[in-house]
Amino acid sequence: MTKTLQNPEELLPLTPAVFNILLALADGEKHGYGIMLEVEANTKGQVIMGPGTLYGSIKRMLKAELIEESEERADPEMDDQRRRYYKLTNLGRRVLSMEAERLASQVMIAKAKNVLGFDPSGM
Amino acid sequence: MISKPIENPFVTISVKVYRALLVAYPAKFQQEYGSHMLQVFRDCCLRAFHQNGKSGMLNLWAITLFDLLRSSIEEHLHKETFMTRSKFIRLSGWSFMLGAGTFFLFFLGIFLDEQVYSPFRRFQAFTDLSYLLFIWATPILLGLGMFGLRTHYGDQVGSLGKNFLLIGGISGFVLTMIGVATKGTTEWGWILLFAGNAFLLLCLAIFGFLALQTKPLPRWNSLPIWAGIPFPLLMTISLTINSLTGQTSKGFDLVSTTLVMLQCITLFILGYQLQGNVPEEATALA
Repeated sequence: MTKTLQNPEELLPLTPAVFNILLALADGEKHGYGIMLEVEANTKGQVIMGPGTLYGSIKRMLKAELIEESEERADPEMDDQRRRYYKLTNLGRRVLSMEAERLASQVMIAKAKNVLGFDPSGM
Repeated sequence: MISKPIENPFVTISVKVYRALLVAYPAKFQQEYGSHMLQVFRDCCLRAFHQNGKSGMLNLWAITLFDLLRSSIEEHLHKETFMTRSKFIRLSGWSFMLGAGTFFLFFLGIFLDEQVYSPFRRFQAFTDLSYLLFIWATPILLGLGMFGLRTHYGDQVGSLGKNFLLIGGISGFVLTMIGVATKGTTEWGWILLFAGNAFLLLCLAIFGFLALQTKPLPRWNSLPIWAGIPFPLLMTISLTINSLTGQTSKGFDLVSTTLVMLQCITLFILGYQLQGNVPEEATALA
């Protein structure tokens, strides 16, 4: 019997890979390569995931019920190969929201300490 | 997005090499995700070659090799952790069943030993063996079983239940061994021999009471209570009677022996349930 973690707080903080995958899926289901492109675009190329990191994270996120598979089908914008699509679960959306709020509060602290927009030249 | 990509030798060869490199991952992971990883890698190759030619391919390979090394190690570590945990739980279930068996043999030995004037006295060798089993094997086997219970259900029962299983598993063995070392010099040594196992089982019963609230077992959640309570209870009654009457008998009557035999059966069932209810996979996101 597999016991799944149901309390979202137990999953926080998320690793950068997990957070970025959840964020990529926030506006709809995507296949593996679609997630990879979205993450790269969202982070302006700062986070580049290889296939191993991507599917290793996907495997664990499926197990934790943060995401789920939808039906396998071809992507009309790419080649005619069939692809497996993934989408957020309710738990995944809640975890993403909580993690985003946690990060936002960190940004607020950084703002309060005048760390944000710091000019090293002192100008 | 890329429409109707054109295959070229660099991409074809790269995909073939990456397919061969996928053996670095655990077989199950490879089977489940290998084809999808290959598909994604092919898409990456097409894009890299389309945008930056050969230098783009070289850059992609540098990223991919680093990713392959890091993620394959991670997948093997996850697999190893899972295997160790599930194997340990299964092993501890078997340990409970064996411990129940040695506990049963011990009481059978005592019962036969009590029959002073009966033909059972012929089984002296069996009685001696049962004492040995009780002293050495039972606390080790039952203690290991309790550690397995702790690993499997500890988080669901809470830190108090986890700690009782840990304390019971360790101190049961330690008290019994102190009893072994001192039984020749003082009567307390004999009492400790029994007290070690009694304390171990009492901790199991307390865990059982705590587990009643969260019901972590797949069925019969009161099993740990019935598997733990009879022997410590009977020993307490026996010691109280002995101190009141001044007798020093360590034996048990037929009713007590039957109760403890039933306890052994319950311990066996608990072990059987534990080894048959191993988690399939860990759910950590790390």
